[in-house]
Amino acid sequence: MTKELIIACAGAGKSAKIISDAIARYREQKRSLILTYTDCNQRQIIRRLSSELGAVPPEIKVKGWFTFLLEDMIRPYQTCILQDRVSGLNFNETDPHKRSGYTIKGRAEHASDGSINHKHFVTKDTHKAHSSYLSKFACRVAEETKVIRKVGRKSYKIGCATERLEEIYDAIFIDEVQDLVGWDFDLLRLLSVCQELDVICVGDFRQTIYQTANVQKKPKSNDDKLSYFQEIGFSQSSMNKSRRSVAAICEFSDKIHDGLKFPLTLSGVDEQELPADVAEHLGVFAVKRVDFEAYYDRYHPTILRHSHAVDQKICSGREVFNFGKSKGMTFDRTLILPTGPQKAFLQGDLRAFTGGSTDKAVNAFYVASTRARYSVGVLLDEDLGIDGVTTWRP
Amino acid sequence: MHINKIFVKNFKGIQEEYFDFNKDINILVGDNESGKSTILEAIELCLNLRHRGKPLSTCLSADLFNADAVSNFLAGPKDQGSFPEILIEAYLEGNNDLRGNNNTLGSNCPGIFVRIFFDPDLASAYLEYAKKPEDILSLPIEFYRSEWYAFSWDKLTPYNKKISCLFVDPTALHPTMGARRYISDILENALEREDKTLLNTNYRQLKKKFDAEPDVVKINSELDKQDDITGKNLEFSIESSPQTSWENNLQLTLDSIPFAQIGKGEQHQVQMKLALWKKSTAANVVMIEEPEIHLSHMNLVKLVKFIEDRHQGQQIFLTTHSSYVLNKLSFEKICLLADGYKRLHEINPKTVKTLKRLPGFDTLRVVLSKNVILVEGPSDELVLKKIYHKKFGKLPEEDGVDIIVVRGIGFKNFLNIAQHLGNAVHVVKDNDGDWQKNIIDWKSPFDEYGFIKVFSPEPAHENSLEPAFIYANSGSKTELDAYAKVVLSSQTYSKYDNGDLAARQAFLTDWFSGEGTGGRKVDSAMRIFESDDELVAPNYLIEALQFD
Repeated sequence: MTKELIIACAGAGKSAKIISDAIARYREQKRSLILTYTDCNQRQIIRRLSSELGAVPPEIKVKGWFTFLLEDMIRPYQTCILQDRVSGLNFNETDPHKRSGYTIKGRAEHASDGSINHKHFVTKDTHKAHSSYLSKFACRVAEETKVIRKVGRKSYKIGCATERLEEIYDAIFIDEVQDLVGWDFDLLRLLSVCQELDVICVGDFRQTIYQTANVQKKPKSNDDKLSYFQEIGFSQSSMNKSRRSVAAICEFSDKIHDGLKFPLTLSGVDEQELPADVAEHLGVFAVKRVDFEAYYDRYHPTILRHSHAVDQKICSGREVFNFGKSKGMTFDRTLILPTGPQKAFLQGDLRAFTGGSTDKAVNAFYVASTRARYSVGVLLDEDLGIDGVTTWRP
Repeated sequence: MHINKIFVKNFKGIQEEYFDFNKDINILVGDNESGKSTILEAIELCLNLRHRGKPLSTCLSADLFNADAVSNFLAGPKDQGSFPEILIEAYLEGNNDLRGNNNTLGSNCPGIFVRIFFDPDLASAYLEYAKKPEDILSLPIEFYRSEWYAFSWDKLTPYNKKISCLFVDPTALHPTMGARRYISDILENALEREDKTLLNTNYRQLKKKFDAEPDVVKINSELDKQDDITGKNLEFSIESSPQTSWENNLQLTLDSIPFAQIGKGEQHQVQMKLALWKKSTAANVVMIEEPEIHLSHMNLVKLVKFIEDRHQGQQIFLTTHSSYVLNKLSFEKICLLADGYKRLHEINPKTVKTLKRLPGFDTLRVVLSKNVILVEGPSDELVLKKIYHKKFGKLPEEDGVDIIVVRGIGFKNFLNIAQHLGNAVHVVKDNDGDWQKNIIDWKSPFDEYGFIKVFSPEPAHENSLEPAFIYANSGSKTELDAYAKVVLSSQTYSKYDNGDLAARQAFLTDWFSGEGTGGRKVDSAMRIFESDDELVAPNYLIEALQFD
């Protein structure tokens, strides 16, 4: 049975690949579960499935990662930890067991008698599950329900829920797998020993901006995640042809993660076929602040920014997205309002993003610079040192 | 997809009980008021969230609760924790989406449950209401709500539940319930989705055509011509709100006669057959109450054949009081409600086969009677009844003692059934001249069942009922003569030999023995039954009538 990790570059058509795979299986009367991380992606997949098939058939289920954990991995067998039904989700921005830096009493995973303390996983009265402990909750339910699966000499506590999944589905697709972290990977390990189940993970580790949980548990970094996949026996392949962006944009965005040895991104866009008015402005450009109005009037780029607080004068009244929000989206032309480190990078400092505790900053820049089909403008005051970025002149 | 088991708590007559089912046919059998219908209703409530066709929310009442549970509540402190709750669980097989272990057995299988319980959100309102608990005289049903989940603890809706049942209930066909709504339920199950859509769109077209008919247009154009009534356009049109779909406006006709106008028997048959008609879209579970109602025997035979041929892929539940239905659909499918619930799926397959071929035997009586006497022929029955009546002044059936003539299929098939039941069964049997062989050895396969007893005279010459009677009344010539006078016609009595006791015994024995004396035996039994003279009853018959 297939256990595969597909690493894709931005614009490679990850979701399209998942959808066509799931449809092919559906035609063989096999059941698929497609898991995504963002709502936006989930809606997009449902839309594309229904445009292909008329409607999403019962043989293909599309769920968000948290919903999946709750509905399939926890609730069916949760009584080993909590007698009352887990009523829903409690989204955590930060660790729910900490208040102004101090750990709240009575929230430890185990009670003094060694039993599992459900307050570690759910809110006190309403019994909503903490999102940042959700996959840990699922792992504990798996352990407590005691279904052992042997692979070679090793045995795994896969739990009733994993066994149930095997009964229901033939394949599980996990989109945006780069966003999984920590305990999520323990669950992947359980899925990896299911002989009857194909597990296909698709992701782009350069685009990790969100994470399913803010915890210390490993794997957290891209390197760790990649080697974890290797350890649990996933084969690896890559999709490195961008169906979105022209060659110059691909080339530029590859430089952002230069040290990590991802395969070079190829462009699937045939520039010869583009109409003349589009083809006259292709690639990555520095746009001086003084030229902004002229540039905007001419190309109408979608503006991408770090957050709401940036350059409100320029943004107001125009089509604008935060870097994070723009993930998964495609525009003809974009204009990036760069952050400090991004500016430094553009001025030739290839190590401008190192030193941060996460990869978030560098990844956000990668996401931003891979949204456009034809041109990426960067609003700057200074001159640049990077090859392939020319300064635009009106 | 089928139901393996249900758990019912505090629902109507059931306090707390698990019921196991067969995956194909289940024939619920029991006395009146034994809870057969309650089981069907529990299944309907759990699978459809409906009670007798109506959504639970519209018919939630204290009547759904077990009366004992309600009186315990009313006798108690009436606090929040003491409210009785209804719980019905259906343990299923066939769809793992519904799988989980959230059920009272903690068993990991697909399933559905419905719970009707005190709504904790209304706790403060209840505190206000219950300031004087002694004033609460009935179950405060207003404080209840219901929930409906799969064993995976997924919320269920009528659209995602993946299993459905259809309750064919002839009593529901009364005017206020509306035969239409009932028929639409059945059509819902019997029609393919495309057919339904086609009927619906065509019905809409019909409305449009009506509005465009010249006569209709003319009438409408003259209506409120002067705008006296309203400035807007006033028109007659066929009602077309989405709620009034074709199902409510179409009717089923048989030879152009509206369904509601045809005979009850035919209505009933059509309903049941529609329910079993199409496989692909039909309900997984079909429940039929007393299919024999309103049907002549010949129509019942046809219907049972239809059920037999069509049930594949569906799980059938039916209640019946008809041995014919039971024997024909397979006796082993019986689910008995007597002192507790019992399935008879381990009955000897040979017996099941015999009964399918010879379904006319009163097997249901063996199942339902507490005390059964099995006899060979009608003479034994008549004589036993007479003896009982003389002793107690009433007939045995009035005391729940049922005398059954086994006739063609013989004792063994009845005993193969009875051995699974535990009711007292007394067999009254001729020794046919060899007590050891025909009684002791014959009975030995049933020796382990203490509730099965065999009664027969021991002496070889008392080889059947009549000789046993002759010898029982041979205390003196007068005694035997009195017996002879009762059992013989006056014509025969005139030939009755006047020799010694042995000669008289011989005359009588001869009279009853040999080929073609069956009629004489029944005649004489009839005479005993009708006579008021004192006769001596053979001991084994007296013993056979004694139940613990």
